[in-house]
Amino acid sequence: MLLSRFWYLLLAVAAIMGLSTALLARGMFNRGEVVHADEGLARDRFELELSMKLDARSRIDALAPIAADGTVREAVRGKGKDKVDGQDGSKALKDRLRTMNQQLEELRADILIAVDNQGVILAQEGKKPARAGSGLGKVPLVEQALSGFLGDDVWVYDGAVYRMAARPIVDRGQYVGAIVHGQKLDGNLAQRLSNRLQGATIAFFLRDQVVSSYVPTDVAAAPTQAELAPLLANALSDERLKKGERTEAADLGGKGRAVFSLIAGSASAAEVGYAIARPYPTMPSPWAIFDQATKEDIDALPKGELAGGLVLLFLIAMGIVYLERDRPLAAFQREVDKLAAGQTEELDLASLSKAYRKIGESIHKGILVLLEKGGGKSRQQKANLDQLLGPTPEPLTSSAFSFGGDEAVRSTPQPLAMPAPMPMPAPGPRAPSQNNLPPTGPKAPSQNNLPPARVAPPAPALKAPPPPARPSNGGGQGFAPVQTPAAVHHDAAIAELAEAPSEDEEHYREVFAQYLEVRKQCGESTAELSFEKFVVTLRKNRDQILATRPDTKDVRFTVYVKAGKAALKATPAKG
Amino acid sequence: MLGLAVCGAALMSAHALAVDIRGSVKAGDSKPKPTENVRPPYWHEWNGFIEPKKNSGNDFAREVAVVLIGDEAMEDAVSVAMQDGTLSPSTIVMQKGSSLRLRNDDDFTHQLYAQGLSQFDAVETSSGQARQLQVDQEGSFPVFDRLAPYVRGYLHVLPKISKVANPQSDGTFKFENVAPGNYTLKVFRGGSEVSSTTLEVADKRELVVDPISVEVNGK
Repeated sequence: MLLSRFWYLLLAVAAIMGLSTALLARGMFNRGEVVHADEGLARDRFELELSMKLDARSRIDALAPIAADGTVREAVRGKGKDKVDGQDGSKALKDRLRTMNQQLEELRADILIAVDNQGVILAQEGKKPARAGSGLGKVPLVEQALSGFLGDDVWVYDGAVYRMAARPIVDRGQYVGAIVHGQKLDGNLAQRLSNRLQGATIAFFLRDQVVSSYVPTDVAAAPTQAELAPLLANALSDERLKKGERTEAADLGGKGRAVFSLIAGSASAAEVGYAIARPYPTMPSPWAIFDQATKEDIDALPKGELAGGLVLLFLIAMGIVYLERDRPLAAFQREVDKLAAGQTEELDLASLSKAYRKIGESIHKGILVLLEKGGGKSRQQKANLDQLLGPTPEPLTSSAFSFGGDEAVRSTPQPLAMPAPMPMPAPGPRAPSQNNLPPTGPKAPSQNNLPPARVAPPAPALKAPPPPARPSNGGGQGFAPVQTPAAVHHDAAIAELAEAPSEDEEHYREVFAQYLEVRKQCGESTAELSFEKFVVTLRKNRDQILATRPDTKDVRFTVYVKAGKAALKATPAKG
Repeated sequence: MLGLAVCGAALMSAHALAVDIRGSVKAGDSKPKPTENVRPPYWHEWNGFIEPKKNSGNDFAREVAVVLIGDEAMEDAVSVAMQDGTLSPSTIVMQKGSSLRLRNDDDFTHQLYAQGLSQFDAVETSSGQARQLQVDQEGSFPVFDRLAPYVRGYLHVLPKISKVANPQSDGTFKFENVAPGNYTLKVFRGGSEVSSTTLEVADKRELVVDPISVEVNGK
């Protein structure tokens, strides 16, 4: 299952990386949009200033025909007191201002004032008649116009904010007065500027109050006047604003940006200014990044490579599933099927993977428990070993043998301090003596002497497992179903040892001698060890290996030191 | 006979208490100062036909205040007009505890206030309306208009003053009916006290003081 776990780890890492990438991309996208919006606002401000300047120039120029009009000049020269065209000069001047103002169309003034050379108001259009004698002579724009200069300004005038323009009235080579033009800083101007800036929200403010604004209707999520107003207090305290520059862009609740600037003219000292605001698109969630993809982006995807990668990953995953799940499961299924069909009395654990081997062991234990409960004799190997070897030294019972398959063969024993290098004889054909084993069927005398406890009671559900198959000696045939394989091996080994000294016995004696020597070197006791018990253990292990590995012809044992104690290792020799 | 003598003495005595003080202020031509904290407008250019008209230079009547300080305390309220889009006079001198009357002669609203003087806060004064306030704090305070930044002035509140005069456009000034005695003559221009001299007013018809320079910081 290692591959599967590694694969799941890879998947988890890939998923986290994908999610992280999406989150990062979202942040980067939003940040990029903010930068983009700020740059746009900087351009907007530049363009708005240019528009306002051109607008001021247009109003100044629009005054030229009024300042040059004969009726206006004559009436102003006479300070409105002299008759003009046979009528009262003041009235003639007012009528003429009204008429000419109408002709200005888009540049029509909201207030249009004519003053004499002292700045005294003679007539004004768009406002009730001025108080007698009141004037504008010390207002810088008018004062300069009376001196021969044309110019513009912004006034806070009677509760409203006006864009002003003025130019002198010249008559008979003298400056006789000035004409003053004012347009309110209203929503119309804001709309005109918004259209010119293509979709920006424009608002004019007087201190912390928005006096007029325009929110484009064709722009989604365009910032509103209500959203801009709360930012005014901060903007007005901005040092850059006080210097006449624009503020840094301020955020509008995470969906828009705005810059503020004072307006050009004397009203700037009264904190009259404007705000330009734009929305910016935000990515509400990491998945919204896909909404940003265009058809071109999708077309540019390497679809073949992506599909190939998908198939490859799928195949790798399927391969891992086959290797680590399907195949071991099938092997386990086969073994279980054999067991169920009575073709074998125990599972071939060596052919199973680790997880299924454990399951198999548990099944074996379960079978034995059931047999015992049913009156049969269980094959408790540990008990048998103890019977044979007496108080079993720890290495013999726990680590003396390793039947894990090839790992045991590959493992390198720790070098011994003992002089004997323990060369193992090459596995050869089975000694003839092995064929002289006593019959292991029910007819064998030793088997007939089995205690009654080994006789299994009738068990309808479970059949006592037959003795393990041993191709070399044909053992197992004729076994009584009540006798366990371990018991059979045990008895057979003793009989074999007693009756037929063979090449194996020589090998066992050599191993026994080495084992005793190593135990002594390791400081372990050898008093309770007997060769007979030792041989029984070796043979039992040999038989188990031969039974579980059909391709194994013989088993050789070696002695080594493990954890400071003598231990034995079985090495299968393949035929 | 005795009655005639008493009357004559009384007339002579009364005549002795009514001294006129004449004087003048002088200064070189001054250029108008640009208004602070104002972003310049976009356009300011000559019309191209006739040479620009030169300004007269100094506006002593508005900018200069001559103050006579003696034993006698001035009881009248100081009156200031908002006129032609400015203050007249723009240099205001008054005695602590006296009243200041602000009258709007313009055709539009003003909102004057004195910086640092809580009694003179920003209150709108519509066209044709007046506003009066009592000042109890000594010192010099710049005066601004919240609606029209080009309207600027200075208010000087002194512990005691006897008379205040604003020069004519030619710089001359006159105090009439001044009682003989010792006085201090102070001249203010804008936010500065530009001159301070002592005067001994003798019992004679007229006292002419030497011309007083009202250059601020030598300019």
